[in-house]
Amino acid sequence: MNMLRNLFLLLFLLALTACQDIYEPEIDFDNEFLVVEGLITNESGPHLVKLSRSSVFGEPFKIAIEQDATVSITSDEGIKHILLEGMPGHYYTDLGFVAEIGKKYSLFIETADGKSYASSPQLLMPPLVIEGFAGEAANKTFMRKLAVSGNIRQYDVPGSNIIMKVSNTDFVAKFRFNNYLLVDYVVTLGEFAYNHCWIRNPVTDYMNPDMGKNLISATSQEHAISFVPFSSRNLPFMNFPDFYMDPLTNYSTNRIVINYIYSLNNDAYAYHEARNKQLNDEGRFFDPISPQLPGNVSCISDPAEPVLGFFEVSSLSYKPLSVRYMNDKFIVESVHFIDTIPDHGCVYTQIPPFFINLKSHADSYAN
Amino acid sequence: MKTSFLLSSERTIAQRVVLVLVLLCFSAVLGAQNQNQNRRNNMIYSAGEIFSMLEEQYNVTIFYKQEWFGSATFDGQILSKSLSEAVEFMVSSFLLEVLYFDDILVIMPSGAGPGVSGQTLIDHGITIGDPNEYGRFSRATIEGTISDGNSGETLIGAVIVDVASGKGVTSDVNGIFKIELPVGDHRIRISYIGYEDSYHQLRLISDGAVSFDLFRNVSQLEQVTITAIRARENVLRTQMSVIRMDTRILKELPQTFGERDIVRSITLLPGIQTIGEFGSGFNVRGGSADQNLILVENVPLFNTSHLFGLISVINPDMVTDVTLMKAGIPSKFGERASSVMEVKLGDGAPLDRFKLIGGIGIINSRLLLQTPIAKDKASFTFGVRSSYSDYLLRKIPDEDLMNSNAGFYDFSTHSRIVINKNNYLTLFGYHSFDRFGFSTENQYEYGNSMASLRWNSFPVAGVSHTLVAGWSNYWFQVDDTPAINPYEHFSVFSGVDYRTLKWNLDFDWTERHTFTAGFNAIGYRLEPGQKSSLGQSSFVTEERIMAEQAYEMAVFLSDNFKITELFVIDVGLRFTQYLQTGPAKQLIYQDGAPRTRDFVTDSVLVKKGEIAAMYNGLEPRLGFRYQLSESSSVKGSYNRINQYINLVSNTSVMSPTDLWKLSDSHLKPLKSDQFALGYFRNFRNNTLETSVEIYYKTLQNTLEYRSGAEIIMNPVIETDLVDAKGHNYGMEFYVKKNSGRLTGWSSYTFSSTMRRTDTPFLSDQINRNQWFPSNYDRPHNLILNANYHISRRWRFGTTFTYSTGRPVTIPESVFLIGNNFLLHYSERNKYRLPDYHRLDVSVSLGENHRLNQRGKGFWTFTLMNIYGRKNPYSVFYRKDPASVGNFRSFNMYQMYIVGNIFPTVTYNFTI
Repeated sequence: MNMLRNLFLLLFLLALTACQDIYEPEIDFDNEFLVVEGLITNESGPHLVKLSRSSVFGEPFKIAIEQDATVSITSDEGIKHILLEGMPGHYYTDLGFVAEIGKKYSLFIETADGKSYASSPQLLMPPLVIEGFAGEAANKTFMRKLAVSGNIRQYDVPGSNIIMKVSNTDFVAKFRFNNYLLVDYVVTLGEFAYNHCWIRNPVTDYMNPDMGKNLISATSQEHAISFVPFSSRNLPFMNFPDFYMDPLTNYSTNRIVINYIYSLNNDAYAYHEARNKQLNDEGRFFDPISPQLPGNVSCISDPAEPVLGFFEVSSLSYKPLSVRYMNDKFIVESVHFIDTIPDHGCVYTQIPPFFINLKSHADSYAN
Repeated sequence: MKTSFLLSSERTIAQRVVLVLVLLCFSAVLGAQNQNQNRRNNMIYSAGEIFSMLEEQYNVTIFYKQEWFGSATFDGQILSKSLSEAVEFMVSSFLLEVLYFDDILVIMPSGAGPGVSGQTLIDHGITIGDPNEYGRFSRATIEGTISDGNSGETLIGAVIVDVASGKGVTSDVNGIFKIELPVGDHRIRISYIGYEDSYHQLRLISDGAVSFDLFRNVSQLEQVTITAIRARENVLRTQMSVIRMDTRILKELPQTFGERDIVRSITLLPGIQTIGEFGSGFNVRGGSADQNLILVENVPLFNTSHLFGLISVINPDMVTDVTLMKAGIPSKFGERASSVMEVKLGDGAPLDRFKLIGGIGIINSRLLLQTPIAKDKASFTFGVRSSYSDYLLRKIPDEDLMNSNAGFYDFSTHSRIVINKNNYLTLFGYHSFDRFGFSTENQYEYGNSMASLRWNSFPVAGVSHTLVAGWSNYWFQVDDTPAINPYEHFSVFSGVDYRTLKWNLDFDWTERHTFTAGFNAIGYRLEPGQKSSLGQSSFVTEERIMAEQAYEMAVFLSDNFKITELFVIDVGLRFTQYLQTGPAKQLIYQDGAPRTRDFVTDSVLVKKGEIAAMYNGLEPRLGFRYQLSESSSVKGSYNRINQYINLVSNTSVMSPTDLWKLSDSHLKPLKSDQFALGYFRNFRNNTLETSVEIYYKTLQNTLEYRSGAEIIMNPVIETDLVDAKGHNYGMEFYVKKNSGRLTGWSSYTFSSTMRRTDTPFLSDQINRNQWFPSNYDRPHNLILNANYHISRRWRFGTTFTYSTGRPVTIPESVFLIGNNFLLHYSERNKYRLPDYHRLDVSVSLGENHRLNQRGKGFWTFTLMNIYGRKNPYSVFYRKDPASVGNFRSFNMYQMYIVGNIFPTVTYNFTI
């Protein structure tokens, strides 16, 4: 009887295992659609419009740049700005191009094969009125893939949430933000010689591993827009180098968070909302079918041809902040920061102007 | 891809071993049969022995009196003749004759004159009609009720035959019969399986009523299947597109996981499909699952599945009768647009003895207790089922499955109280609970509860009425507990509460007119969503979406009008009024703009008790039957139905978390119009039924979801839904063999189910307002189902299913924006899953038929998906979790529930 029971148990388990396989559908077309990734703001140019081509799902992805296109932006007053191809597939406005609040802008593209594309007119919303920023102690969970085993492990990282307070307006503000974190560190070359270095990394995605958190449409006046790790040991979670084993190289405990806050019109908000939903889709059993991204560019010469991506017109608020931990409090202060410095670099002996404080090297790993 | 613990070659070997075992098993059985047959042919037997062997050989039941044959013996060679030849040969020497009813043979004296030994002659003469009218009519109609003489319980399917002419009818679901005969003297035989036949001498003068009682007999075979004899019912019935399964058919339904599954079996019939393998619910002629009104003892069932669709929630042991109506739906039914499925429970409960039925399977077990409460007055039936699938999941060497859980239980109760011969009460109760979770991240729980109290009354002959008070409740809860973030653990609850009071009157006005009238009042209360934090670390704030409430009232009238003997029409009208009441919050959208959040201009708060929305619906129903010959007819029907409650879903598979939504000021009721035409013909003495039906159905105000729609915890769900219209059409071919050793059916359906939006707003358009296939569009569907009775105890069954893969929306392109890969999807439902096909076989070792054996049991061995087809249940794409150094790669996956040969064994018993 036991043998019979075990036989059926074995067969039952055999039947239940391997209940999912990778599915390779036969896609019955081989089109490579035009992909538009454009952004113009109320800041001075140059602004970039990138053109590329999509790949067929299921085939190896290849980066296909759309070169030799004629790209222009036209305001609702009929003023036309020609964009120039600075790099293959990268089309730039001139330096003096500044979009004006309350006006609408349309993108026009004529590709090398003679097809014409145009975006719907996009309204430039006024920038967000920001009253101030504050720090708040918080823990954030990060997932990290272990190099050896390949397993994904969870870490709780202490740090500070950056809270942004916006003015109360008579409409529901829609905005998104991108964050960069600039961290300085010192490499000790001798008893009195230092090499002052810095790294600036985009951290939006690392701070929002489940996505969807960099997009806000709410009547609330306070929003958490960023997170800063407290301990230097945790900086690698945000893609910074790990200097733990290097006694001569130490991170400063000071952080500079650079926030780019974009005010969105309805089209842009809908696009980013759908994008975040799609990126956030983890494929759980009863998850909704992922959304189609609502682009705003269409093909004039062939209206049935899909055009992917989005031409975004948003006003920008640029807010670099220094974040320090003193007396059990996080001090958040606006800093005047030079946006044009390289993403990383070193200055010998002389302390760079954007090094807001030179802390003792010894306490870098204190936490 | 999940890790398998056996290599593919090992699996193949295992599969082959099972196949070989099965084949050996069959060979042994068939070999033994041949040897036994040769030996039997050379021996001498009594009539009783011959009849027993014929019953076993041909799987028929033969009724006779042993004394009619005295001590006569017969040569075993008779067994080599056909059934009819053998029986005719035996009765020819004894002035007996044989009547054939499907798989039942009744032997009776020729001419059946008075004084024949063994007959029960109760009446020596009943006069029906007014003697003063003698000679006024040439024909008259007798109406009456057939009841159990002890309990008063009406008998469904009792046979009333005029012995001289052979004309016969059967009693209907209320035990009522009606037969038209020439005026004059008649000898009537009343029979019902398991009961003593009774004969009545009648003098018929004019129309009149008479009721008869039958009494249980002591049969040669104690174990008798209660069955309704329904020869030609498919041809003669006015209503078309009806599938009825009584106890006998239910007993032979294909086995799923070792037990009969009512809902699963329904999907093997023409025009009925499921969205995926073991998908929850079923689709009738292209309608969604929520368009089926599934009435269990007169109250609707909102979720039909246990274990995410593996097993249906209806305990098969409780079921005594199932009727599904796909078209020509009578006016007494409404509420849902596609079909009505009536499930009757427990009426077969004995009023005089205790009975215990059970089954032990590898996934779940079940037990059913039937007992009289007051002898011949009241009975009680209690059924329970419970699973132990958690134990099996923990044995699976896969981390996700090991950490998963799945289980269910359900209780059913049914009581029948006979007040007197003309009145009885029925009490019904049901409760079920399901839970399942994948890994440790999500836990799904849901449950159904139902109750009803029914009063059946037969005040005078030809009049019956039924009053039902019923309640049904469905709820689900999702616990979202991602390990990554305990601060965001939450739980969402949603539910629907349904109360009904319905009254139905059947009135046989004249020979030509049978009226049905009544009313139906329904109260709905929906809890769209309550969100609460889960765990002490959670910071999730509590949310509750305002409850919805509404009332639906209906009055109806229909007439079954026999214009001539050949031409019968069924005409009816149903009027419905729907009232959505406050408290409710209604958003007002900008005129000439799409219904999205961006165009909300104002909101209105409707106070409690005030009317928030009102709809009236007039639903004409029409059906006809024209009899072309004794065995063929043409039928047609038209019906309109308004549906005021819909299931909103935007998942790729039917899910327990799909949300019920009432019609309101923005979401209009679904309106369905269906035309159907059919040709029905029986062959070979009604043992072979065939039909061809065509239908065309239009739908208005169907709900389609916008891209990226949020269903759960969406306070303005109408902004994520768009109105669409649709049409479904198809042709269904059906052949059924219902007697003999080989029984079964085959059906082929060609169908089309299309939808389209019709709106000028780009954001509301799906596929640019072009027609697109609905989720249930599966043009080709072929079913082969066969049961072969190897002997009286051994039965072999097999089912083959084929259907076109269902439509899906999948990514066509991938592109890079910033650091993220994004997907561009095809047009809605542009692609199809691979075609679905599967072969199942089962072998049943039936119960022992020895007399006076107290406990009886039988085994069922099933091999599902015998050639290991991996039929995709769902296609989805999954991303790896976002993590440092591992940036959101994704793949398409197909999920299948039974991807290999799947064996089950179940032991069923009766005490």
